[in-house]
Amino acid sequence: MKTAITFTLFILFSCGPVAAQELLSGNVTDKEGDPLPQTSVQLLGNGRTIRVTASGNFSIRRPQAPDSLLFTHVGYLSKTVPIDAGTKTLRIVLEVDPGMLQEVEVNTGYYAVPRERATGSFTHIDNELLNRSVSPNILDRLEGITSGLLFDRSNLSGEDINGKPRLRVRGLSTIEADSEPLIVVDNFPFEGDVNTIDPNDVESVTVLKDAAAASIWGARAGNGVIVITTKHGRYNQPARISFNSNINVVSKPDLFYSQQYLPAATVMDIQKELFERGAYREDDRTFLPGYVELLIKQRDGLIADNDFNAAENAMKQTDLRRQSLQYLYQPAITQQYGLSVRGGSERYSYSFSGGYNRNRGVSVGNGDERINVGMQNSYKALEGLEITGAIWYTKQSGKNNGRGHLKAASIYEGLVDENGNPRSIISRYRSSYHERAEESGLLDWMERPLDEIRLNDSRTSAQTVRFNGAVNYTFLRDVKAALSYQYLVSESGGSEYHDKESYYVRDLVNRFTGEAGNRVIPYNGIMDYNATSGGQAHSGRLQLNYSKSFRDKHAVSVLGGAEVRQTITRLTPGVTLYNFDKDVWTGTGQLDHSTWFPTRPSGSSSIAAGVGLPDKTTNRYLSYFGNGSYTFLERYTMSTSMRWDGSNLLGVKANQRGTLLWSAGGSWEISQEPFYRLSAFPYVRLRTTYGSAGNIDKTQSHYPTISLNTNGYTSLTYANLTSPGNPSLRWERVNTLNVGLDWRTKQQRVNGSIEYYTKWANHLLGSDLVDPTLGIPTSQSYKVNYGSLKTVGWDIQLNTRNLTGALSWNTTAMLSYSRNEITHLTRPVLRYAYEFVTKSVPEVGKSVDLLYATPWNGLSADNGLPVVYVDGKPTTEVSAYTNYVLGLSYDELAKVGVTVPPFFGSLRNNIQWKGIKLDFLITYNFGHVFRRTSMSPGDEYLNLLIPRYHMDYFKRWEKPGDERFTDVPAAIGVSDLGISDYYRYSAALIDKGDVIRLRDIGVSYTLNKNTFSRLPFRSISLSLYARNLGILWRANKSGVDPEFPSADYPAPRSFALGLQFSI
Amino acid sequence: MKYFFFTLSACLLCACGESFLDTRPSVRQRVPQSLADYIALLDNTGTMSVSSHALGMIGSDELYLTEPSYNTFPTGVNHNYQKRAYTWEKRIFEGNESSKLDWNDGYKRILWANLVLDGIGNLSLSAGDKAVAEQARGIALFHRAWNYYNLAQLFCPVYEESSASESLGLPLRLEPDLTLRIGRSSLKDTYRQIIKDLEVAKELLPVNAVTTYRPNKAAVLALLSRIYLQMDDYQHAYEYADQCLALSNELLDYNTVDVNKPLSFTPLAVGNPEVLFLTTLSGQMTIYLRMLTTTYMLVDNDLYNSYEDGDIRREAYFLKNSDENFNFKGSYDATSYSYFTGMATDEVYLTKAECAVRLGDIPTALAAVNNLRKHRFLPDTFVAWDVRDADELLDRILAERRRELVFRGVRWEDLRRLNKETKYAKTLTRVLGDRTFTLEPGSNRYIWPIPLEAIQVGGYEQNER
Repeated sequence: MKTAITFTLFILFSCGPVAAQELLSGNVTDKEGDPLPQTSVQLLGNGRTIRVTASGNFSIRRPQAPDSLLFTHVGYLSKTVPIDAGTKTLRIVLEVDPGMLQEVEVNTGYYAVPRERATGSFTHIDNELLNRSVSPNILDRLEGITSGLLFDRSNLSGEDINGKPRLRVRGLSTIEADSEPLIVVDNFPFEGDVNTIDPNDVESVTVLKDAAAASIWGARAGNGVIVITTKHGRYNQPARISFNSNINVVSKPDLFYSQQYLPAATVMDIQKELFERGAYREDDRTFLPGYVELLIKQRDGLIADNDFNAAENAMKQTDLRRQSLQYLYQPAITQQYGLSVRGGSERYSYSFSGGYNRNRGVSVGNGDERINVGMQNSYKALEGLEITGAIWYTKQSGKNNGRGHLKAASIYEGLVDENGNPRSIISRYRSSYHERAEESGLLDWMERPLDEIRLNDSRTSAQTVRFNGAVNYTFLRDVKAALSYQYLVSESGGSEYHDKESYYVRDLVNRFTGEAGNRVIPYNGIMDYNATSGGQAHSGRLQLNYSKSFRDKHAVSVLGGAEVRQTITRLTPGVTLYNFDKDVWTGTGQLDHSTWFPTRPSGSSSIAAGVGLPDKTTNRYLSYFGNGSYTFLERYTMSTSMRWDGSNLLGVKANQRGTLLWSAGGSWEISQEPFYRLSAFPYVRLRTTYGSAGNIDKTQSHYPTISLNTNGYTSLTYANLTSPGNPSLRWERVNTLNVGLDWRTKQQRVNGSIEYYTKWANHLLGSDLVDPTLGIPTSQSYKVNYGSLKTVGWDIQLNTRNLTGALSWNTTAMLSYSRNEITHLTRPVLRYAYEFVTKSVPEVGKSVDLLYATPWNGLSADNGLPVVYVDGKPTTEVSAYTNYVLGLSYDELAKVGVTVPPFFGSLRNNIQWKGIKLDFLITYNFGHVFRRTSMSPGDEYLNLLIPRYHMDYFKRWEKPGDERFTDVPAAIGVSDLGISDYYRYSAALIDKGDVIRLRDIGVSYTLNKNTFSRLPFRSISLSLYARNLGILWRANKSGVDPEFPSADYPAPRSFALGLQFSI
Repeated sequence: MKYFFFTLSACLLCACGESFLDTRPSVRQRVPQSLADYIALLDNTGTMSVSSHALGMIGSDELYLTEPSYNTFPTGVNHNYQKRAYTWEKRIFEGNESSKLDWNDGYKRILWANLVLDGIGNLSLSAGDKAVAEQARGIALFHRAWNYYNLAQLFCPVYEESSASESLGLPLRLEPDLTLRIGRSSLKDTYRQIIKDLEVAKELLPVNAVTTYRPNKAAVLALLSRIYLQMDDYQHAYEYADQCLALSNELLDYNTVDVNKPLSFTPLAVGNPEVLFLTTLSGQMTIYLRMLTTTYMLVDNDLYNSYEDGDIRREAYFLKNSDENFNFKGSYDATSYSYFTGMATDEVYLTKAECAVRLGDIPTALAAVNNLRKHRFLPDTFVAWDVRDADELLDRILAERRRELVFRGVRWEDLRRLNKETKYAKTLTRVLGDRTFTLEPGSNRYIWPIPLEAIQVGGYEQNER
């Protein structure tokens, strides 16, 4: 292609009127063959510069005498090429200057600005950095490489370790409202599921952190904005086909990590003791653990001693977790494939991409798939007129038939019997009741977890189509008008099929079987079609940009516009089909749903007809915005922005539907000043901004609001009070001050930035403590503007080039600090200070994340119980703890620290030698604490079916002197709430959360056509990537991973193998 | 699509954004504006047909827990208060009890009633709608009175005419305005307000309601009768009971009840002629009021043993467990774990009988109580009482009342008022292993503490216990 162009040009030029003078023609490209039209070409002999066309071509008259051409381009190493009268053609390839900061444009979604001119605080993640990890979720890829962005996983509990972490951009700016940042994709707020975005389609991500950056996004930008920009074709770029694929294997989880269990023999001892005390009610409606059933049989003489002993021994040998690992878990395997074609001619650019993801879940029976197809075109229709259009399609499907770890059952139970057949380990009612079912004419009423994986089929599916279009028109040379539009349509639903043989069907049929054995529910498969939800979002924006430079001294850039958005969500109820035949898809939804049938073993119930109610939600937003910046002498920049946001809030006075937000900022490139002399730092720039952003809560209203429904029994319409109304409601507002300093040393060996910020969040909404006498239950989310919060912090980033040359070594270090303090709260003081311990209660002058604990004075040497002080005197009376705990004052509580790390950051090293690249990331979190679990005295006698066991049982105080080694109180033989709650929340169980972990390592080997000319590809690379490799250091001695303090196990290790090539 | 583009250009060009933002966000949600909307609030059975009787039920002498079962009762803030209430602790709440509290839910229903009363008052209605609006007003007034009365039985001292103006009553919220701060009224004012609302409701409500979830005129009269009985005003109690029975006097013949069913009566009291007004104690007890589920609660043995042979109630109300103790299965609303706590004619007969004998009218008392008993016994074992001694008859009627109104929430009220009479005063005891707890007649532990959030934020005077 490019040869052809060169050739054509050559012909053109040689045939033209200037053909008499012989021409030297050439072209400039980068390593990958893309033209570099911005290159400056200078003939050194006379200093004349030569124009380079958009396709990278240039031509000059051949010099008479030997001369040289100097090629320079920002971001590339300069090159000098000797020429003489005999030189006819030149093909110049410029190498990227590894030390040069790439000319980065930060994109806010409304405008793109070179980072050097931006006054606000941005973090820009380029494509290469995004692709160093392999997660199929784009947000996950930001972890550890984005300054000031914290992934807090302390909310993930149980087995939900891959759940959504809480993202914090520069700490908190709200107490109870949503603290998630706004996600913007291709210039519009993204209303869909961020999981539908294929990371292969993403060109770059920009995180907007301060007011100047975010206030352009207005009312929803209070928590920061993450702007995702997808890949586009470029004009004048030869077609390029790239393919990449990787396979990621995640190990089975470590079920033995959690300490909240006791070995089989111990559990059996405890259950025996309880049984002998008569703690188990023996009636048909209460489930009893397997060993207790065995003991009952022995007591009643229903089992021979030999058989009893054999069964008891078998139980002692069993460990449910071992069997679970064997039968319920598998290594997860994720496969990702992506193919794209991009390119463009002078007037037309295009991009096509397709991706396929397939994930086998860690639980047997779980998995999901995702298909992405995208197409993007730009066309320069006329001079100054550009039309772009893009369409993206995503289809996701998943099946969730996995069972997870069955913690509810006793650990001595096996999933299979001695012959390997699936067996029942837990049931709704007493197992003997279930076993008797078949004798009394009912169906088999046992649930065997292993069979159920096969007998149920639960699926979800979702599709999203996104269409973007824009018309950009430049007129009067400096004015650009842009009309852009986005349409997003999505649909999601699911189904659950229960086979005739499944426990779900048998249980339902049995429960509804009448006294006479008559069946109310047909004994056949049941298909549950879940409610489907469909969404449509239209967004449109009209924007005018004006930018102009005057006499190289003044540069002005102004934009203004309006934006309108509407999202509609429709919910269609699902339907339950009984008597469902899977082969021919016949079934009935019409059973008698209004009669209350007696159910077994007691009560009565009506038959479920399907889930969900039809609903339609319409959200509308209207905004006007403006933004301006002025640069003087390329060293002083001022910027300002303003935005009005309105929304169709329900039950609000018309003048309170909107809010006005603004920002202002400035920067000063000190190093440009004539008086600047510090030659070690050739670039120093100071910048600062101040401004406001908002946060919106659409559930609140000024007037009372209701939602309507129909009562299935009385057939009367009934209403729910969704909000009692709050006439003094205001919008939350966050004001942010940001001060930053950017600097570079000579030859760019070291560069970095340091930023300081303060955020004042006011009128924060909280549902905390309303007088229930008003009639608003505390559980209802009735919120009032009740507090203010101040967050202070800094972000430091340091990039160094430790080695340059053939072996290069770069390091990036990040450190962020953030702390918050509640500055104002209208909440009254609580009666019991103990409430601070059991749930998170904000308090003036303290951090939102502060963790409280009951004070700890060690164990008594006499009886091994914790010492508490009542009326100034130490006591260990079991009866004293309840009153002690309720009598604690706020000052007595131990303020043990914050649960979210105030210091966090990462260290990334990148080593390259020829085509080999090694990259590893170390992340660290410091300064926070977490609460560890343990076993309180008497816990073994509480909650018989899901007991609060813990291996600390074996660390219990047993004899005087033990108190020097252990904090675990002695056994007391009875359950006691007071002592249990005291110890569970005591300072003894607080551990430091500080941790340094090796997050990941990536190794890759790349071959380029430039270095290997026989290669059939432009480039090919092979990579290995390993994640969650382990903890390098942690402050706590209890072996807990502080990233997952409440989960059953930490994220397992994963290993990925990847292949990329491009043609 | 076309419309959208039209709007887009319209808004961008003319900046007429106000109407664009007028759309309601959700089709199901709105600011209540019509009579139907307000009636719909009252017809929300999940809220309005649940009653505040839990603490009284837990504290009464109808139930007990064995020690092992008490010890294995779940922990957590929503369970702990039930455990403490069971042994009548001084402090039962620790704060943060999230829901299903008698006080909180009672006041929630009062707020809804106030919203309806206020909203309907501001509507401009056609002549036809006015009659419907008056009925809705009657229902709202009834709900407000009914909830204030139930809360007064839990959180206020027992009514005594001599001291009622000095005793602490309830905060009387009569408007939906959430910004109003209202302190506790006197007990006298609380009862006066309750009776005032009911006197108005009595004139507004129809004889026959569309559903038993809506109160009818007989339900108002029955409630008035219950209130006057609680106030020891036997004359009024008798009159209202009599008026109520004049409107609705049917009883369910237990000989027609299949006592072998797991739950003896019909779900939602379908076809039960006794039920005048249907409410239950929380339908979600398995989550919130676990103490009142059959897993933990057992029926008091004295109560069980008090039934004579031939009394169908023994089999209709109780289920014998394998370990020789008893569960309750006799709720008039036979959905799972649901206790009927509304108004029914059986209670009115008993009130009438009690008042009649206290007022010296033994024949009327006998007629009322015998009519009830006749519907409860196997025909061949039924023997009509013929007692001429007023004291003995009162003893018997009160014993009958205990046997009849089981797990209806009424027992707590009866204990409170009867404690004033030395003869009927009873000391309640709980035994847990070697620990014994007692509740003396007239003890201030008969007045439950108000939830902490209300005290902290509302600043009300807490009950001395």
